[in-house]
Amino acid sequence: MQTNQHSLPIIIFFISTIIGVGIVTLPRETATIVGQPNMWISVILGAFVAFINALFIFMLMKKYPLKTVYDIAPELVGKWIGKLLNLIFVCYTIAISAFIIRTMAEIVNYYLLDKTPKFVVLLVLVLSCMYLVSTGLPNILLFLQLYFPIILLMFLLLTLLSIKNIEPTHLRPILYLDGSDLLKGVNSTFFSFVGYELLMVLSGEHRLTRWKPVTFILGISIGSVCVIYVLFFILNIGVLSIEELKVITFPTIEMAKAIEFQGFFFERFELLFLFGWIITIFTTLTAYYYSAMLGVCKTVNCKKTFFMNALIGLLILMLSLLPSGITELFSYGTYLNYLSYVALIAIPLLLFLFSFKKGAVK
Amino acid sequence: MKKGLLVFLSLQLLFLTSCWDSNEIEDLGMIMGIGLDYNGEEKDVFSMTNQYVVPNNIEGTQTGSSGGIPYQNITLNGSNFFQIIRENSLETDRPPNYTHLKSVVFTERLLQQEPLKQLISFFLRDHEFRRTVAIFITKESAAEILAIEPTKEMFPAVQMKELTQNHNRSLYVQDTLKFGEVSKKITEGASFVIPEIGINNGRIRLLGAGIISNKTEKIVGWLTPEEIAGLKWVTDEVSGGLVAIKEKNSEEDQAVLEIMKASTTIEPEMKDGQLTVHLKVKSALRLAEDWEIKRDVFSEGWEEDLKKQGEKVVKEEIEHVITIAQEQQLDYLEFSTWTSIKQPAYWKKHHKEWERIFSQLPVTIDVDFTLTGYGTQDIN
Repeated sequence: MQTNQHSLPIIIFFISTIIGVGIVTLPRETATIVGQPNMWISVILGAFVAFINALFIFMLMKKYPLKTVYDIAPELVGKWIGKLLNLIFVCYTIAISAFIIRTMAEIVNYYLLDKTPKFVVLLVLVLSCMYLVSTGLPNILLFLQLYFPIILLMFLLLTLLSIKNIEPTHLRPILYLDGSDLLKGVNSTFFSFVGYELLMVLSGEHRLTRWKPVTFILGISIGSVCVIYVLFFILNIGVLSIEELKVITFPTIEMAKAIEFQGFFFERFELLFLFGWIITIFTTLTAYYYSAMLGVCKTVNCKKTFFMNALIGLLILMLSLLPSGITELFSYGTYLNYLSYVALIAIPLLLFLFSFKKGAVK
Repeated sequence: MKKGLLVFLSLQLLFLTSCWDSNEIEDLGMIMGIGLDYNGEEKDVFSMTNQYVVPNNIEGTQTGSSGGIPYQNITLNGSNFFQIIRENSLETDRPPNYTHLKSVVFTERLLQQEPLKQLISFFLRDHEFRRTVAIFITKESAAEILAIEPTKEMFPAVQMKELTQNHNRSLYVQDTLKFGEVSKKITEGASFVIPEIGINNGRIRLLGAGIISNKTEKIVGWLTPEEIAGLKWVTDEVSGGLVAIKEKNSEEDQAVLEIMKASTTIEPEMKDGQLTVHLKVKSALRLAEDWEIKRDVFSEGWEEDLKKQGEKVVKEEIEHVITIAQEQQLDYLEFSTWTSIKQPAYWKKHHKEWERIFSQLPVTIDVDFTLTGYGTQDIN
């Protein structure tokens, strides 16, 4: 397998998966925890932690070429416990899908369609995702490549239009560090990098076994997401200021709302940005949806995927309609973080330990 | 057959899309400006003036009949803003839409009674209001201001906002104060000034500014246009204007310098545990108007005298505004921002007692002018 031909779709897969709601809500979350103008350093630290974690996951998957986490779990820890682990991982992917699309629905409801019921917004998204996922991984990768330039263009446009609103005094002092606060911030910035754990799922169809190409793929994906996040943090802090970030629900959109050119016509850029951003949510949803479906199918050995597909769609939809309001939604985010710890660190660690025990056999 | 049906069905997606939330643009009542007044009556405390666009009276449009006023003000009373907005629907068939709102005018009495924080919280919470809406304060009634016929623009609300765009023309004009900036100042807990708007011979005129205290978030004082000039020199907002020198204190010998470039740096420094602020003003100017006959601009050193006097004028302006601010114990001079940037350790320790520190803060002012020219011709 040649590395160059195959690494680009995978890099795009990772970037599209990682960028999601974080870009809109993370600045507020981090501002409440860190609360100093150089809090973008937390993002870089978070990316670093995520990269280490990703490499660790790769070390596990490297031992089992062309197998997903769903395949190796039953092999390593026994059929039933393995299936339980699979189900936990599936629960995680479903929960994260539900969380991101509900956040999206809240934003769409606030800024775009205030009379359309959330159920309809979510249904449209889930149905189209259901269709995309049913066509298989190669098509998903193609789809992501198709929309990736649009996403990048929208981010670039927002950056260019916002630059003139930046007030440098908001970003200073840069070098006055309060290390402990920055480290506390890592706890939240780290979660905005989740998405790389789908390496455990992608490895089923792509031979990801050599150190060099995989480190390259992970480095480029997490690195470029980190660059985008840091850029948006600097824009957010520069345009809105730290104290303001703490009280704005969706800072990035408010930042887009601050764009105005004198005269009459160029206003309301936030609507345009939202269209691009919804695509990033859709790509994230697709990746997790696919992982969930694959997981369920591998666990229960189902032949016909359509039924499972519909079931997972229904589950995601129902789960996403569960929170009654935005405060409740954000509080679910904390529970989701615990679940992420399990899926990202506990499960790989457990499997890794067991792989040593039986390592010689496999 | 089955394939054909599928294609047909998917084509329907294109043709049958409907817009759940669509609002026809001609059915919207676009609002350009809001004026907020205080009634003081028990039941309906506030009065709100909405400036609607009347599209049919806009000249140049196809249906437009020239001559009519392109805006209509509707003033209604109520005890909260949302209620008043909804009450508009009892009198006009077009629902008000605030996405293109330009200016909001507060009357002085309103800001004496209610903290600004609570007055603007509704506007910040609602997604229709942009962060770029300009804010003004007036000593007149806000409804009256919005009713004045504008000079060049079509709407008074637009005219007001555009006036603040002249901040590079005159020292007396402050840059637009936007909703977003007010919100920033309030969350930071800083005092600030709101541009004042008034009426002069039936025309809208920018005046000084109203000072909002960070303690009460109500209006506590006023700045004159001359004091605005001093404030702009301190906060590094000068981008144009003039410095008038009355030489030898007589009217005949005056000279006017045009500001080409200006920059101010605020340097808080620590000396033996005592904070001092060094203000360094640098500016490049050009001789614009000269009433002195004897001056020979072709001989070297002609500018020395002008330079010194100009520096003195600006230094006095700055000293004056700093004295006022320190007497009021309100830091709208952005000294706190620069202290937190340049002396973060000190700031972290002392920011709670900043008012006290600020009021006794020693400030040194250093004005440095360069005269770059005298124009195209010197007839004297």
